[in-house]
Amino acid sequence: MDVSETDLPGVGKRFEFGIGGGETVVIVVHNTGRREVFVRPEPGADAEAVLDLTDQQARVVGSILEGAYFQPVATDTTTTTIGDNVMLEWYTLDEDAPLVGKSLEEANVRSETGATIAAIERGGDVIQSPDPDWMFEAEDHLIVVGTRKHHEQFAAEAT
Amino acid sequence: MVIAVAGELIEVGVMFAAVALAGAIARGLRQSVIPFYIVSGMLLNPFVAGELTETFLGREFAVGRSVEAAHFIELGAELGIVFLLFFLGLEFNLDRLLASRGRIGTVGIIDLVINFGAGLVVGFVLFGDVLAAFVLAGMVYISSSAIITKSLIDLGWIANEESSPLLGTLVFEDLFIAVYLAVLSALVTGGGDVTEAAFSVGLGLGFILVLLLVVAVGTALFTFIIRTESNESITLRVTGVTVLVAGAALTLGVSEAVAAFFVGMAFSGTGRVKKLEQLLEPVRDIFAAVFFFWIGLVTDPMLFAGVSGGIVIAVAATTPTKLLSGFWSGKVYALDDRRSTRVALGMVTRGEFTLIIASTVLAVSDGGGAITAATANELNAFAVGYVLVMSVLGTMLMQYSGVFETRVTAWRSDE
Repeated sequence: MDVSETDLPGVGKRFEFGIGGGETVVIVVHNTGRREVFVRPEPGADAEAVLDLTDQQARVVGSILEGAYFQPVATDTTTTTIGDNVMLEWYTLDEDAPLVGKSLEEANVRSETGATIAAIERGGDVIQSPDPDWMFEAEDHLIVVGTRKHHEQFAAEAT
Repeated sequence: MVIAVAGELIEVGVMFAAVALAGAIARGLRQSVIPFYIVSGMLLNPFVAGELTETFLGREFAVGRSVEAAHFIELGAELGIVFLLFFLGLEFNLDRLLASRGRIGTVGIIDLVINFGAGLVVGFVLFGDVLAAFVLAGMVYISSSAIITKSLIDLGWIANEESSPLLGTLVFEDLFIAVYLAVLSALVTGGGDVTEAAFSVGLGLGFILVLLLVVAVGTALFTFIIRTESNESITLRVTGVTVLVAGAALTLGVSEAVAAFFVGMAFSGTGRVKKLEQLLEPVRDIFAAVFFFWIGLVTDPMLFAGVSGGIVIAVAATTPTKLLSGFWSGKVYALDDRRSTRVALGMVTRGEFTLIIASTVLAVSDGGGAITAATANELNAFAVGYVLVMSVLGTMLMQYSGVFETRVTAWRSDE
């Protein structure tokens, strides 16, 4: 999918992408953090305002759309790229995963694999920056940050 | 002492209350706040409210008579100019301009040649003086970035293609006006002597070169200056650097506005533009309002009578020129007739920079510069009257653009 980007000097940036049927979504990101979402019903038409969000509201909407609040389809891993080569990935621990039964400190994930565990979801609760004595269990969902190489290492050694 | 300060404090309080009220009225009428701030200053100025209150209430209760309050407001207005130009520099991105220099350059030059050229002619006809014509040309050439950008957002045009030529032209104008102000303040300070004028223009341009050099190599220094997480410290440090450099420039006889522009540009290289904008926006808004109030305050409405003919001529001549250059700019960006019409209507609004030019001329004319105080006051009254008309006219043209779009597309398809 092509996302076109236009600078709006003094205002911010404008992003546009087609969503089929001739419709285009136009998002204006203001320097102030405000985000405006428009839909252009057909090429050449005026974009119609749909949403006008504050920075914080936009982040909530964004993470819902991204699936971070709720995953409609069960997938083992979901990748989000941050910057050019850093990725955020979800992992679910199987019963026989090497991590299960170890504490965060023992597992020493960062020096072993280079990847960082940013958060853990267990039974619907999200634990951000878990303590060193956190014990891994099967069915824990891990949110891991790292480069592609770090992720490969992590997938091979930890899950 | 206490009583004297109380007198000043209440005048400054009256000023802030007046601009706040003016802003509320403007928002209610869906108009730009700038003409309303100016009018509030005019209503409270010594020539209007001063005379009235002195006649009816006596000298002690006269409004606008406190010399100290007037000094504070003048200084506040000066800070308004500094912060307006600082923001311009902050949002100015040289790399971005160079990346799209082809189209921005083309529309910028179309806009400059047509409108500055028309301004020179109108200025010479009205004042019969080359320097005054140069001043007036700048006043009618420069559109209002503040009002036009706000209208683009309010009307939702920001999501459409017409915003590109509009914002592109404004970027070109902003860069041009930085150089223009440096030359202008040198020319009007320089007296009638050609060598002296050449020297001060040289000094002004030399100062720009030094600042450009600082912008180019000083990013590390400016990054270091704001290396703190305390919002309070960042605000104070940036204000300290900006006002100090602007003051130093003015002391050297160089435009403080231009200096502020380059300081803004230097800070834009630090990668913390968003943060700086968020923190300093309220500071700019307060002092910019003081600036517009002040320009109304120092304008004797009686002078309008003398320049009203000139204002009518300038409005009649420079509205069509902006429409022409705007429509053409739309075509350079390959827009259809409807969107090109919007670009044309969008460029009509003049505002803050016209007034900054007026105040630059006004400031140096007292010291026996190349422009007499009488001419400077006439040019100032002209600028105020012209901006009052063009800011309201431009905003209305954008709001009712639908009517013009239909007319233009019908007319063009008949041909």
